Amino acid sequence: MEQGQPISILAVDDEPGVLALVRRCLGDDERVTLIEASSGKEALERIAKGPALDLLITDLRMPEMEGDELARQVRALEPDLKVLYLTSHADGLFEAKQQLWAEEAYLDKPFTREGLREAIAMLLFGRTTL
Amino acid sequence: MTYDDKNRHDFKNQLGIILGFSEILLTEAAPGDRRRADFEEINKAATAALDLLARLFPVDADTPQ
Repeated sequence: MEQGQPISILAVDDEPGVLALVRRCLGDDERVTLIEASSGKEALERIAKGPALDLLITDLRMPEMEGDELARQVRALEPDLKVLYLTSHADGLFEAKQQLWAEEAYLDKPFTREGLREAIAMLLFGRTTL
Repeated sequence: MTYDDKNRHDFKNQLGIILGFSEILLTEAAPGDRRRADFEEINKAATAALDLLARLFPVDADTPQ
């Protein structure tokens, strides 16, 4: 995908404050359409409704369905979807996943606005500026 | 995920929200804005709390991350 195109992002976290922070980090960017969900189940329902997404940002540790399981299920619907995991050092991402896929990355919490935007830009455009 | 892991995760989440918003407020405050000092104090306190959390709930170095 090329810079300047509209970007559709689904952010999933069971903590409303984290979603509010993601919204604040991206809210001033007119290219970004941000969809929010508070659980994996809600995320899958939103994805089923369409339209297609460019990026899934998900907390790794969530009740009921964890982020890597959500990504696996979403990929069954959208195989090329890029995924950014929001993790804490103690979350044990690599216990569950020995390595990340090419279209995946992770961002350690706590994150800054610049850090989040840079991670998104790297995943979507292969460069550091969104 | 153990009980301690969950507590650490949840607490770190809250600190991350405070740090994230205070950092945004700091970057948006003009150089002469008197609130900058307030935002810096919030940011410093949350950073200190994050360090404290790491000491209170150390991650086992032998545990695969």
